[in-house]
Amino acid sequence: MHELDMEQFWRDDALAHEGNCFNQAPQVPLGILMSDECVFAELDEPGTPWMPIPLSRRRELNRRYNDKAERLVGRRLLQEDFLPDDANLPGVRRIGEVFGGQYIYHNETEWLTQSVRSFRELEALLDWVERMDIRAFMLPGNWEAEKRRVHERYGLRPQPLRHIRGPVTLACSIMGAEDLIFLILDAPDLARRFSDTITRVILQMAAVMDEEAGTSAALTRGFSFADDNCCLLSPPLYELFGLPVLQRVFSVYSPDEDDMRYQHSDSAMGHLLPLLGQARLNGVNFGPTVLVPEIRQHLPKARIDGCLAPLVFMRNDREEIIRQVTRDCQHALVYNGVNIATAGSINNGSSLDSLRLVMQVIQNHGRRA
Amino acid sequence: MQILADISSKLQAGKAKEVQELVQQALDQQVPVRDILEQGLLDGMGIIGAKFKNDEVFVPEVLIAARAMNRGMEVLKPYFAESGVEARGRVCIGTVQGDLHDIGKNLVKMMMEGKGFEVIDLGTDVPAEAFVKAAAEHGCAIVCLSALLTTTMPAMRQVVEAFEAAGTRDQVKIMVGGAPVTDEFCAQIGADAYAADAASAADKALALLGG
Repeated sequence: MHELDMEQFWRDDALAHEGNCFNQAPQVPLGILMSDECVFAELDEPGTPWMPIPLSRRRELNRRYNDKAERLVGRRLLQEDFLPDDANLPGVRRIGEVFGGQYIYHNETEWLTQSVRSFRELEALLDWVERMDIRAFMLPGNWEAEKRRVHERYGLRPQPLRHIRGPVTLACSIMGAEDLIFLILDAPDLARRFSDTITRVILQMAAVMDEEAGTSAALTRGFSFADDNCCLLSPPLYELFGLPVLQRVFSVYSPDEDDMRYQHSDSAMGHLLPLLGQARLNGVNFGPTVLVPEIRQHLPKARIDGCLAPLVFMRNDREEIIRQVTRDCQHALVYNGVNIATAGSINNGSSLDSLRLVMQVIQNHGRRA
Repeated sequence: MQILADISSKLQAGKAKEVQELVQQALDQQVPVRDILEQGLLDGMGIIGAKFKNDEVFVPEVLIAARAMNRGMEVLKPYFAESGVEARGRVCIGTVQGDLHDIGKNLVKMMMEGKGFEVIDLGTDVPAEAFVKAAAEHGCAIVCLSALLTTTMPAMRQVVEAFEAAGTRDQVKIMVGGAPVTDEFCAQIGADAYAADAASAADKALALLGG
């Protein structure tokens, strides 16, 4: 096992997360807390990382995983206490469905299907969406009764909507990546209309869920986007299509400097950093080719969750993990606001032993003198 | 020759209609078909590919350049046979079974065409046997496999095994690519080459065929 003073590590880590990780703590922060999908490889159990599994099985796997985690890294990392199934509200329709797509499982992975195959079909879709009663579309028929039941039995209310698939990734699913690019180049007015409609739909959907949750934009601040495919657009195209969505949604839900403005795009989207600077993001998780100095140049106040390549972490490549985490620690000490994490989602196969190695590297190379 | 330089530069700018017109003009001026292809269309795509590799241009620029090239090819291709012009080789490409991602595959396809390959696109979610069948049917020298999910990488090994089972493994070079794929994985499954990005894939394909 890699040498590590776990008590000291976690004590320092708690301080390191203060101030959106800009606190000048003794040690740089750790942002890798693993995920439910890691249990299968870690415990050598059969299973499908991206499919829902029965609650009892989930609880049992997470407990065993946490027992191991406690020994190796000194923390129980995964959730163990789950509400019973009947505490869940019926599913609310999501943004891809508003735009005519369907969320399907194929090879145990969720996909959003394409719904339009020509500019004309897109125009018809936008006509349809613009006429749509979003509340009626989103909420299932038994919503009110179920909402009342769950509230009476468990005291729970629906959650507000503060995270959504980003505009470029959504549009790529709905019409295909190449056609989206041709749309912006060949029919910019229609592209602007598509972008405007996405903005309106996000705001309407969030407003519906605010009402259901008993909150508002003013009370529950912050918004985040997951937009991997933004990397496919060049800066002028992103400025026309993607950025306006972020700016408008943030203006409603994140009006103040400290309100969360977050984007996850684990792809090679470094060319968009100057534009994302205009969105004044204060939290980012970008792909492993986009490193701290480059990000910091354009996003001075963003907490940078990164930049360890997720697949290096998944392969448990000891040498490369040490190299990348050492690099990120050095950047963290110079640039501040770096939360040592994977530059993208954590995959099944990423081991607790590798997490312990990351912690050890932080303890050795991520301390302020 | 100025008209060939114009074809190349208009292609790089993604001016499809102008490329189409210039190719026709070049044919009318009796410019050899091979020169129009190599010094005009492929030269333009080569420059765009190099710029893409160096992050000087991005996917949209590649896409519209490829569209312009295709328009030019529509005019030029009917003259290939009589001029003795042949593709540099035939390539089968597809995303392996279980995986529906197609962006990377499509970029590789564009880059391959930009190097003068004829590309047979099998689409996404392609079973191993379909690669074997298509390679035999179309006489493909190279088979390109794409996967973006860690869970679909094993399907690449199945394709290699399917070629072995069919007894045709020695007739094709198998290339692999996609975010989770590495050189080591390529070697582990017995594929012939790994490419980290679309532009490199086209260069490696040429190298595999001794080009």
